[in-house]
Amino acid sequence: MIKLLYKEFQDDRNWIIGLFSFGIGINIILLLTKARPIIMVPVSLSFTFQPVFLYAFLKPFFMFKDEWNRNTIYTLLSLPVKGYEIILSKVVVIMAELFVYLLVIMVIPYLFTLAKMGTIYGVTFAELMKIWIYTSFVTIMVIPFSTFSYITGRLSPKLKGLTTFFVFIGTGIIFRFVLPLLNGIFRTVPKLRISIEMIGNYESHTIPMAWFYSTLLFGAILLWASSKIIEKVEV
Amino acid sequence: MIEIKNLRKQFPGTDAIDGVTLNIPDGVVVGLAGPNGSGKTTLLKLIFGFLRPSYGKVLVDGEKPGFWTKSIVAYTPEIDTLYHWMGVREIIDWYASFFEDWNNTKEKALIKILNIEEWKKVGELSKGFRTRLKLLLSLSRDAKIFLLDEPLMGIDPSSREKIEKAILGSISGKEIVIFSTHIVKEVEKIFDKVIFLKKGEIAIYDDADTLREKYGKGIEEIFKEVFND
Repeated sequence: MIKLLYKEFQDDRNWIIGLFSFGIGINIILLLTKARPIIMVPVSLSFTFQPVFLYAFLKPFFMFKDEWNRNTIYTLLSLPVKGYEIILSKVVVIMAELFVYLLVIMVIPYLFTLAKMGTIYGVTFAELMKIWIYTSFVTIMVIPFSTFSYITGRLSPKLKGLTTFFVFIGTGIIFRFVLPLLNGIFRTVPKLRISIEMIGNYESHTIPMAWFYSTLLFGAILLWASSKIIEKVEV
Repeated sequence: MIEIKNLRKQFPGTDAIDGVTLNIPDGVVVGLAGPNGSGKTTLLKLIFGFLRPSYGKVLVDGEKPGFWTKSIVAYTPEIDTLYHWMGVREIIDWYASFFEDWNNTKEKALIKILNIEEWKKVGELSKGFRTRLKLLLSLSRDAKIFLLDEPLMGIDPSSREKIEKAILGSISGKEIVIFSTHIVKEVEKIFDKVIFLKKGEIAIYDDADTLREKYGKGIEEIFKEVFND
């Protein structure tokens, strides 16, 4: 698994450079304009957050598509490794990229505001980390969908194109009918509470963790199915 | 041992492999010959497990091709399947780390025989040298079965002898080597057995010496005779 992770990080380095150059670049531009935090922070976050979900959704497509386009899938599938190792090595790399990216684009404006104003509307570093954990985990939920769509499409040419459509229909059905059942099971798990004071108004948000854990479970099922399917895919 | 029974592989509109039955015992070098589109690559992919049979079965050492058989079968594909961004040394080390049967002594010998330039990036190598590198990645293992799909493709005639030397130097005599090719003449002397594949069916499967005796000519001439019909 470590050896596959090494390869995936190396293989993906141009994307990593591109993503981080964008996130850090936006912040540098705004810092150089000597913008006040009240302007800089919302502008910076509105730009830097935009690629996160698009990246989380499209990246698995590109990672697998590249293996097929370059014929390197033969090398990958000729290794004595299990399907879950192939799937997880790619998914873990995308997650790690996005976790660190989110941390960077949140911490820079935070430190800037702290340096300029001495206060951040009551948001402590611990609260910031909670927000970071929450946003990071939301991105995790997107990754399994596109992974499953792409791999299923590879199982049969007839399914290609239709797969994504059916994955979304299936997802809709699961969200509508299956998750409410799971919500009951997850009701007892600890909740994540985030408290933010917004310009004088103290707001407290409790994250709906039941929904969160249920979706995470659904994502894990999709990844497990993808690992089983990639072992059956013909090349 | 490889056992293939009534094997068929269908693709839309065509039977790439059509009713192949054969047993390949351990310790033989098998020449798999046939013109383009005869099903050579499909047969090798079915043995390795890249493709699944439509009908019939393939058993490699008594097991269906899959996770376990990958650890005893080394496959060299015809096409370029290497990561071009990797360094040559890097890809050798990376690939070797997955296989318990990797043999460092064989690797060093093959680097020398095949003139592999370790300091280069894979993408900087010519097509012929990438083929040599693919061969090195397979032959450096102490695998039980070697499946070599057109290993002479892209290799200039003067270097083909090196490939032959590399293959013969890498096997102990207990392994099965299936060598697919349509350039029979220069390598026929290393074949113990020969399979002629014609439109997905076996036209001939016999010992190379028996065939030479029976037809009174070399394998290359028999190949021409069979496929010129």
